[in-house]
Amino acid sequence: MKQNNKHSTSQSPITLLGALLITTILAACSSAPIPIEYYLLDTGYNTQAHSVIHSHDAHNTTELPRVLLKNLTIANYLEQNELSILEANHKIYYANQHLWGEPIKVGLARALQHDLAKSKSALLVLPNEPDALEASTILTVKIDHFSATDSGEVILTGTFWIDNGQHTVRIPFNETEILESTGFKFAVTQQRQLIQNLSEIIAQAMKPSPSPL
Amino acid sequence: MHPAPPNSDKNTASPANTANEEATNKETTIPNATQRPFTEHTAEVSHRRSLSLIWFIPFLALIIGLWMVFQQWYNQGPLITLEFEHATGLEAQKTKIKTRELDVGHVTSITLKEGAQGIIVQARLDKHVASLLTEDSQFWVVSPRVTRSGISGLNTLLSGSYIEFAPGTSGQSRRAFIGLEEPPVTASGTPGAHLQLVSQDRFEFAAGDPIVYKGLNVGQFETVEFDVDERKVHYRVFIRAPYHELIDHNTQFWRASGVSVSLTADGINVQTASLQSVFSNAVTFGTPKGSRNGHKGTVPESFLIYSSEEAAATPIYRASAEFVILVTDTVRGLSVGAPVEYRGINIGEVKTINLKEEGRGDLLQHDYEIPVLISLIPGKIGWPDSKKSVNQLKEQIQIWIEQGLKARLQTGNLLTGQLFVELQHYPEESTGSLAHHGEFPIIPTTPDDFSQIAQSTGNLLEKLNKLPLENIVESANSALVNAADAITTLNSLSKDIESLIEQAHSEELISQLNQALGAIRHLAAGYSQGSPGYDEIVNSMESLNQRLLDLKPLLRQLNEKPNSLVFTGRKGEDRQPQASPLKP
Repeated sequence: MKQNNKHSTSQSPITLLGALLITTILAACSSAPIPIEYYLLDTGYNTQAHSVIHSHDAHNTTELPRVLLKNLTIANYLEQNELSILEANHKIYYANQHLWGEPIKVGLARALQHDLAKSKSALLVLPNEPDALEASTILTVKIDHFSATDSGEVILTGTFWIDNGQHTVRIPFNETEILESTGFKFAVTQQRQLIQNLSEIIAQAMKPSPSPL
Repeated sequence: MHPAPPNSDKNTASPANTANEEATNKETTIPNATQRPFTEHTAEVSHRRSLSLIWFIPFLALIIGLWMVFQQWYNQGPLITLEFEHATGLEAQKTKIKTRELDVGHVTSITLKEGAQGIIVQARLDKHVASLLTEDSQFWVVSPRVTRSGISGLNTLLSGSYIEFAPGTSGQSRRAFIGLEEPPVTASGTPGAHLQLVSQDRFEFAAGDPIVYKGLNVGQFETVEFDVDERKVHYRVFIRAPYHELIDHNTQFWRASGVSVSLTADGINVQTASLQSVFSNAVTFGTPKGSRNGHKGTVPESFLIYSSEEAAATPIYRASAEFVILVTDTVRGLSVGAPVEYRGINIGEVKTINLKEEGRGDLLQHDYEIPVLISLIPGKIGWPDSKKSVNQLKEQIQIWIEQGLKARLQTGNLLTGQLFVELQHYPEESTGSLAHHGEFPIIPTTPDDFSQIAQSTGNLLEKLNKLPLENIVESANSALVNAADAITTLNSLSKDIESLIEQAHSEELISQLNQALGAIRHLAAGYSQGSPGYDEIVNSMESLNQRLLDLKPLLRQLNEKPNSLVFTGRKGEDRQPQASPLKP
């Protein structure tokens, strides 16, 4: 019996330390969660008009010329979920709580599809889509910068190529939008607008040149 | 008054002076002149011609010169005359004369001998070698020389040729010598003995060839001479001391060089000497087996060189009884010198094959018997080597012939085919009479074993020849043709079977390959682009990629603050892109 008493008295510091550790962990878990916001570049929803794209728009695109988006490449620093801010001195800032909800390349392709279809310029098809073989024109897009800057702008720069089977046209683009409000949600909106601007440039480039006669 | 010079030469004085001197002497020889009263005399003074001292110097020089000439003449060595066949390498006033590599003189002049039969060399030797110029002195020119014994005189390539002088020992002084064309094989004065060897064979040996004894080089050949009358080669050899004491009356010399291969009725006999002897033509000597050592004081003048030790050991018999055997078969394999044996004992040898005898026909006759002259030697039987023994042997052989003694050719060696003559008794075939071939009695012959075998073989072949071989051959040919057809058919059948097997194998293989390719195609279709499998893989990869992208912020956060998982602390809000100050 005496031995049991001695044993219980020796365990008391260890028990005390264990309780302290558990308390610390619980205290850590009780800290406030960090809110994370996810963004989609193209939602199929006109964010500015707060309206859904009508279904008849999709029906009208069946007769549009197929343009195969053969390759869409983006800069390596854009190949991630975090939204970024280009700073001076060649620095870049990645946000921790503002993330893309899908790979940016998927969002870019879908946004271009919607914008070109909406402008009735072309029906952009992806390589893995069934009607990819029907495309007579091949579009290749390379995006160098697609981000907000610390100077209150959102930029989109890069190059695209249009191959109509006879010749290939190389067109660089450099679009900028003013950030009217502070915040990533406004920056994403402007980025979507830049994609629309790009789609208009592509649509303009795909138009046949007027006959000299 | 002038006194006369004390060393004046009276012989050189003039008569007038002589008279004055006499007068003067008369005055001076007057004893006690001072004691006698002075009587006045009138002296006639005359001037004498005296010899000046300066003339003494050339006089002394003349004497010294004469003395030097005398010394030069007295100290100079003898002038010798050498006669050589040619003057190769010799130069007057340059070529030296050496003995034991010491300069003892030099060549003073070289002139052509009268009749251009040679050259005459005048040489001056040192005085101290004059006593060595004897009758047996030798001179020869030393120059580079390559002989079978080796290479010598290489040092003269740079220094030039010189004349070697071998001092003599005879004591008879001499000043004219005939030079040797080649260096003497044996140095003069070397202890030993010179011998004369004789060979009836071709020139086998040359000067310098060694004479060996039990493997030791004990001497060498010095000269080689051919006696035209005797048709023999005489060799002068020298055997060094103390080996010359081995020579006695019974000593025999024989060749010990090279490899001796002899084909005899006993077979092939190969004899080799030592390696040195094989490559150098050598002669050895000794007392043959069975002979005793002779007396050393009775060394013969010359020794015969035998071809081998066996030949040297063979005693020479002078007495022999000649007989003739008549051979009906071939004598191929029988050679002169082949042994004649009686019950296996060599008692003679074959002397002549196909002995010619007038009136006996020739080889082209059908029943020509080849006469072979053999000699039976009483000495080999153990009888005395005398004519009496020969007569006794002839009588005995005659008796044996009447009792059935016959000769036949036997093969001594199956390998070489050498034959010998065998004498054997055949009492059942006794002839009872003795025939002669010319002057030689005939020993009857009987066919040898081989001839009997050949005769039996001939009979057998004759019987075989009578067999109906043509029919047998035709039947065999027919059978062979049938067999060939059967083999051809079988071969064709086997090819068909083989083709069938190969076809079956190939069809089965192609079927299996088709199945495998179909499986591969089906598998590839499941994962080709557009297939559900492909889409699933792509989706999986995209999902995996997305998860990795999701993990990026966490990894970056852990990189910035490793304990942020537990101690999150108060984390600041993200920076937000600021509105443009230029906004409209």
